[in-house]
Amino acid sequence: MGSTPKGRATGPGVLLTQLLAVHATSEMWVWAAYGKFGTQVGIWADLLGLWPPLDPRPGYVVALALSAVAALAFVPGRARIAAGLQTALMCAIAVYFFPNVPNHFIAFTMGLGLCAFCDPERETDLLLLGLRSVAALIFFGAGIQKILHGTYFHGAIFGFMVAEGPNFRETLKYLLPADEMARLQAARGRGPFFLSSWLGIFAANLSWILEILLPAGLLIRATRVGAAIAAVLFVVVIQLSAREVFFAGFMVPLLLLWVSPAAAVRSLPVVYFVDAYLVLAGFGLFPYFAAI
Amino acid sequence: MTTETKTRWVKGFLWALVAWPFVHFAITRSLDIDPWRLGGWAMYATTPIRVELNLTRITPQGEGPVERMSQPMIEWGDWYINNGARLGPLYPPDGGAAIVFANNPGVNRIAIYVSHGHLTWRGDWGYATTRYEYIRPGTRIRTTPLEGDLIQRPTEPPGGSS
Repeated sequence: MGSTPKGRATGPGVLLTQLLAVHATSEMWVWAAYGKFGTQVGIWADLLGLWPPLDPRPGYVVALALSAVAALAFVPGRARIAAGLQTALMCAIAVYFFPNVPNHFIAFTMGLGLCAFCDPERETDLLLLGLRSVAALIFFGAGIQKILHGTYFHGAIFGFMVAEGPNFRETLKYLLPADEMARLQAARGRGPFFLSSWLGIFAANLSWILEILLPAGLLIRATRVGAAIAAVLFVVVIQLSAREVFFAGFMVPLLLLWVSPAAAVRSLPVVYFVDAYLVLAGFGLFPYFAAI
Repeated sequence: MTTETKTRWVKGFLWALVAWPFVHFAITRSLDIDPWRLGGWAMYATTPIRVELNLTRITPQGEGPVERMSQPMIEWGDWYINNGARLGPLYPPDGGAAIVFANNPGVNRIAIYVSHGHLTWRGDWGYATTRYEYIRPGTRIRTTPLEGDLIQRPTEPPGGSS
């Protein structure tokens, strides 16, 4: 764990607050670098008769403001205030892009909101309960949605992913026979996207089953560590397949909280490293492999 | 606020998170809102909603294409498909109608068709289409969900199969 200038160890609540602040800020730098603040503005612009593309440069101002607030989170005793300011800024950004606000952005905002609501220094147990529960409930919610939409029962969603885009195709080619891959790619734009391969259908159904069972496993002491590790692996595989790394950077430390706060803290340097890579890649210094 | 009170608030928030996916599904499915939006964790549970736009000019002879599609209309259409239309019929294409009239002085009455498609469990597309009718300068006079509401898209390639 880190330490304050007074030599007192910085607790996991503060360390996670700092991480969430930096993580959200990193993504805003990437959005700014890609001009998203000009091209993907929300309905407010249309209501005012300003249709895109707008000037994207305010995105850099937003990213700078978030950076200043994230830096405040590293000042001893100021993590909670920083989380509150960051939450307010994130809400304003959500309005700016509404309704095109990604789910993981909402998850970041909820996490930061919890860090502002519970004192990261004095109410650490409550904060960590909230954060790890949010991660588990996102898992659970994703599984429930798969059941409700029904597109996993016959593997239709996997068929669509193969047909329509590069995300997931590279992973799914290891599950589906070559002739099925070819049929699905030829069905691009019109379908049908059902699967014939039993392995593909099995994997599709395993997805939602795991998303329901793993959060349940987190609640049971005997299965908690195994479920947390399986959930982390599941998130990493899905996110690398989907090329949406920022969501994994949020979920992995929070899922590891189910193992122990120390396990979550040990994962933070990895997330900081990935964040630094993604921001530099956003500015063209490295190849950018993730979706924007 | 005491820690006990905060604990109650946090637990209430977490229970709301348990319920939200069910509510989110009901709202997005009944109102044709993009399930990937509004924080319901439905990304990759299904596809993002698929939006198609069609614009026609209405004359006493019937409906036909608008002769001149201006650059602002094309840009607005791109924006609408990827943003405003994600809210389904809750956000009608009024802004686009105003642009059409502003750039086509001879056009006095138009219809904009907006189709919202979702992937069915069978693996084909189900479409719900809404027809919006406008008169100059951009006043919406009629909103019509098309008969049958859910229009099945042909799964055969254009020209049919042999």
